[in-house]
Amino acid sequence: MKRSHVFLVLALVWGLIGLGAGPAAGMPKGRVVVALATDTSTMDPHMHTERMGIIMNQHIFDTLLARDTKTYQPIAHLAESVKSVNPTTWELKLRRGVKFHNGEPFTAESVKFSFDRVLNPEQKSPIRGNFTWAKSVDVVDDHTVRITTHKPYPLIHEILTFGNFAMVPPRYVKEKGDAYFAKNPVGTGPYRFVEWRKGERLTVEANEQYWKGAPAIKTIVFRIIPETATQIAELLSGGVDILRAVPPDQISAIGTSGVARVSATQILRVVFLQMDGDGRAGKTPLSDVRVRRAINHAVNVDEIIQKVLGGLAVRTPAGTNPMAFGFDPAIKPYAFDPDRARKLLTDAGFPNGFGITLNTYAGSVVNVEQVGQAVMGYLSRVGIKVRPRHFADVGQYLATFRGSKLDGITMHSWGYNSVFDSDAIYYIHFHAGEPYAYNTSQEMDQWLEEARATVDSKKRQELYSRFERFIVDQAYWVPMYAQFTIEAVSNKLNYEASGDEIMRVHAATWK
Amino acid sequence: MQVYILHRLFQALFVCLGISLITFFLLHVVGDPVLLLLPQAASDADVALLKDQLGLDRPLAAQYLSFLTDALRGDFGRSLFTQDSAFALILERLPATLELTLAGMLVGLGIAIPLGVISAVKRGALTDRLCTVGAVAGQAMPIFWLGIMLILVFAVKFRVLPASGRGTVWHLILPAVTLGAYLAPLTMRLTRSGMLDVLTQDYIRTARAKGVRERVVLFKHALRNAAIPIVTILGVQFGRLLGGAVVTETVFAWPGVASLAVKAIRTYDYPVVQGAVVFLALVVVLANLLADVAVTFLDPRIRLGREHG
Repeated sequence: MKRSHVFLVLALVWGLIGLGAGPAAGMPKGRVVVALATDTSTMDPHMHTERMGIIMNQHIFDTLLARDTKTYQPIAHLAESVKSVNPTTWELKLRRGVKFHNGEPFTAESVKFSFDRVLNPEQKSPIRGNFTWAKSVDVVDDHTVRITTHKPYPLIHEILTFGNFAMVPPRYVKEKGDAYFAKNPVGTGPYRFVEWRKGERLTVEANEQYWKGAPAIKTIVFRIIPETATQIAELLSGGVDILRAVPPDQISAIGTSGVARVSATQILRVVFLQMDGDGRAGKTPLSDVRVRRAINHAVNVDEIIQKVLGGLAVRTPAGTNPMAFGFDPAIKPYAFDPDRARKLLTDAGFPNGFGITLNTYAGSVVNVEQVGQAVMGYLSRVGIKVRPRHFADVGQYLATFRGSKLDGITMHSWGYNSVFDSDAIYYIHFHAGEPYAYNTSQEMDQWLEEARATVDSKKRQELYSRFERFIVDQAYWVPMYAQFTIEAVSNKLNYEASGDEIMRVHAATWK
Repeated sequence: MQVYILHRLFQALFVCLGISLITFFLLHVVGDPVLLLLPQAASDADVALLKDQLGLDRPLAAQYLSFLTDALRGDFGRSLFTQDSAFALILERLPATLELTLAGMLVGLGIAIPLGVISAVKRGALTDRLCTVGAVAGQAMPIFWLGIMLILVFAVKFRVLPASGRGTVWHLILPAVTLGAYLAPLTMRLTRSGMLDVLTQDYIRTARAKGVRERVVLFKHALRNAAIPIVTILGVQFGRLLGGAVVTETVFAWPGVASLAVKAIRTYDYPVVQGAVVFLALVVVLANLLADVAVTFLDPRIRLGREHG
């Protein structure tokens, strides 16, 4: 090689090294302010079930598996692999060279400690119930863990992405105690904790040694701004860069502001009308399958999606979310056909219709009043006179629901507890003895139990397809739609809302 | 004087007791906190266990009695969500609320007293009419609307002040003006009517006849006497101001006791709601007491009348 070529190569190598180490390219910079309506109660991820807390925790801590933001499938994170050894044993290979923010190494001991901490009844972790499938966790070597389950547990990959189940540093937690840890969190995540002024703000700063590489933004501030109008004013005046939960009527104002845009995407929460087919809260015409089918034909769900929700919803033919495991695209919803509905009602002995309660509740359903009124309108057209009963208090609604007193039709919604699997919605609504089950049968119990204990995903899919065809045929629900999350983002940022409602500001970059 | 204050203290005690009773029972009849605390999928056994842990399965009267005895020791219980002492949470946020209400009061009085005096002096003139129209408009304006309008103009349009939050003195301006504008109209009208009443008195005429300068007549002789009803009403106004703070703190994301109470109501964190309501009631009672005492200094007849009566 000629001498000049050697220099050229050296110069290129030098240049490349220079680019990598230079202050401009890879160094985190700037500050992003995120507006949230409420704060969390604790920074300890194992000690709450709050969405805002999960969002904040995800910046400081890591989970064993993460979720692919495009496919929503579980992917490797702190655990590089999760493999089945036998139906009740799983082996986890852990990522090497990961450190907590205090310098403590992340090892198999950290995983065992985190599992044991959540499972310890004295810890009183509110997420304990999600992990009682685990019988024991054993350390094989520094980077290998074996989990033994009581029964075959097909949802293990799903549950290991669970936002609250973050890996915590054993030495730090033991030395400082739970109360200190709850206010001064230490994790392995992309951001290290700086300050938390409860009810006001949380400040975190980029972890430049993060195992996935330093994030692009130096500082993230999560500000608590309860009033939506103030949040939007802050966004438009440049005081806030990202805000969660934009009301649909503000979308155009933000879109035309020139400083921010809207990022909306489908989420796991589905809305449906549940009918009391069992007569659990008292005998009604809903015990007749023809009446339930008539109601399915009477409601024009597509029109509700277009006119009431501005198209920001996705139809769910059987009830389960298309993003969740178990969804069968071959299943079609009942066609909107008021004439057929009237005929079915006549066949069932109600040629002049009947009166029924429609329960709605405040909180999770977007534009609940308008959607409720639309449903009432459709039902009245086929002769069903609806008595609306709205619960302003969610606690009272749930108490009535669980207490077998929610008669008639209920406009319910379900967020799957962030588990992208049909088990998370069907078991609790259709298995006998469950608090929200108003339609039950022995065969449904059998399918649900079998699906819950089957690890083979092909077989599980078949079970759920069979189950879904059955509940659509029996018309226990009027499956309606999956909702959207609507966020607003400053034009300075590359950031998109996620379907699992976890705000990944740590993955945002500057434009 | 001492008897008067003791008498007022005794009254205040009953007011606080009444407020605690109403707050407690209202909170316990409107909903069930247990179901809000547990995840939707919780079993009935979980519900029963948590009720037992929180003592919510006991009779209401017994629960109230233990709330009262604990409250007397300064223990309002623990937040259902953060497990922090409700009293500590309230104390932590008290400086922010006091800062805002005092600033609001200063702004309110700063607007109301000069305008009230001018209005009385220029009675019937255009200035008086403009002030009266302004006062009526101010009273009719919803506080949250005014707050949002101020944000839109000064933060969004001109970008000269921050839209929300607490930190620098700049952050205090918009919420203090909002709260001040809430207080000003009534105080202005009181000042105006008080001044009108005083300005027709003989001693004012005498002072003017003696050649005392008009500024001294107005601010030394007239305003001091017109101030008596204003100070009395300020005690009551302080309660209104705290009520206004509930809205102002929420609109401006101001981290005070009032926004803490609003959040606690939304999440049904009843120990915090109880603590905040009883505590704010205590502050209002105390403000009224101070106003009563201040009036006795402005008007010796009240002090002496009570002492001998």
